[in-house]
Amino acid sequence: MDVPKTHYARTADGVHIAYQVVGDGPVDLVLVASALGLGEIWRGRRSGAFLLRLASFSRLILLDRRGMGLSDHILDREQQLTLESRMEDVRAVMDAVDSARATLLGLESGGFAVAAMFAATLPERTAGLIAYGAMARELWALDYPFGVTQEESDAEIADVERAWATGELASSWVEFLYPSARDDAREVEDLVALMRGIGGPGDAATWSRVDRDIDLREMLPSIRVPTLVIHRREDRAVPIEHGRYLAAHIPGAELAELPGEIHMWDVGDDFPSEVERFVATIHREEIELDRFLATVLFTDIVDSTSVASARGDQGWARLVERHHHIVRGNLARYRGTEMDTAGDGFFATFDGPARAVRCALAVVESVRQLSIEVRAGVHTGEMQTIDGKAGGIAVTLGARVAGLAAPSEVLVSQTVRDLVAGSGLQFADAGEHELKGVPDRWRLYRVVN
Amino acid sequence: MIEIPEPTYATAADGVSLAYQVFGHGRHDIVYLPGNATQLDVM
Repeated sequence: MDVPKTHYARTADGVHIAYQVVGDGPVDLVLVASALGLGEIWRGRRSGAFLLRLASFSRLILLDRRGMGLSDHILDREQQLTLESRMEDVRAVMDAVDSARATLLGLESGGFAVAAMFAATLPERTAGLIAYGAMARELWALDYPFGVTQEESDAEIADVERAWATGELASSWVEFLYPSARDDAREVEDLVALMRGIGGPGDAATWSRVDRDIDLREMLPSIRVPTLVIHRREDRAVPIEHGRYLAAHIPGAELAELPGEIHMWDVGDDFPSEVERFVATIHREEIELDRFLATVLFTDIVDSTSVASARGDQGWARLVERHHHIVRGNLARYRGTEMDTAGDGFFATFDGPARAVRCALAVVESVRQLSIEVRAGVHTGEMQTIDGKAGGIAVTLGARVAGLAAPSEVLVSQTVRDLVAGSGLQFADAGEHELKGVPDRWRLYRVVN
Repeated sequence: MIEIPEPTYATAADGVSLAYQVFGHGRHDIVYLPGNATQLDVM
């Protein structure tokens, strides 16, 4: 099979992402996967044919996410594999191929998580969203009974690290993902080659852990683009309950339950046929562009009235000016957008929660040189723009969270914590709180620096 | 046609996985350390 030419796109944070474009159909379709392996995918027996099938009705855009396959492998601390950095990978590739809007096909848990984050955050770039064999979270919880336990997951990841790219691991995967092919030597061989092509055992363990620690549940209602959830009814790897959960919690999502137990995505034509049918039904006007997922950051100078009276009018004015200068410098560094300053506080938005938290930490640290302290709150939720102004319950919530933070503390909502897996940020439980003007009780976390 | 050995992985003291291949049965061990750019699957 002809291997398409590989190109590189450069992300906003300076990582090179390998991509390929196949087909020239009327709609752009981006395949977002946890592990694609552009170098190997065309050698597989079925995967190449599957990709060409998708490309028969689309312009198919393929990429290896950062740290994997043909993309850059050496990443610095702030370029790590978070949902938002992988969203940047997709955006950079779409920019490079002049794709204004695309339908995102998210394969399995990790691929779908990135596609979902992209669709919710950047609805103006998203025509539609498709999930295959995906889930909102991998782990079991009282209110998420179909997940696996932490212990099961740890054992599985230890196995991945120990037996990566061996016939042993590949055979056990084939047995699980495509049972009827268990005696097929070529199947195992292809899987071993694919594993080897995408990364080493330590990489694989890290990717697995990052995907495992993601929880999309709080953000699913913020997905406002046409969505199709495709899931096999007897899927052995990811039980159908995961797919049903997604379809029930994404507004207006359609669920396509396909027959069979094979999780492997390149077996059977019913999956690509569903994709083809769905992309033909998407119409631009269905999308609401004034509602989107964003992260809000609020900061506030601690004890500002006493600081102001101690420093006098002129001293206070100079201090506020220097404070604003420091905050704005950090907003620029972490790509935040200043929305408002209310006297001595800042309100800014970000399209990635981890960057908002890092910005908050940097602000807390750098204003100490002025002998003052700030408190900061971060929340991720659905925002609305009304006459160009950002509003919505997420904004109120962010302000309330900041109000509860102690001096020099960064307090975040549970949603933030659930979406920053892979960032290396650490959190400590700060209890459940009622927040004025916002319904429900909210679990908050303190960032441990 | 040369028989290509399967790459295997060793773990360094700091936890990094390193892919390696072993060829031959001679009396001396030679560790081949080429320049910066290697890809065992393509060499």
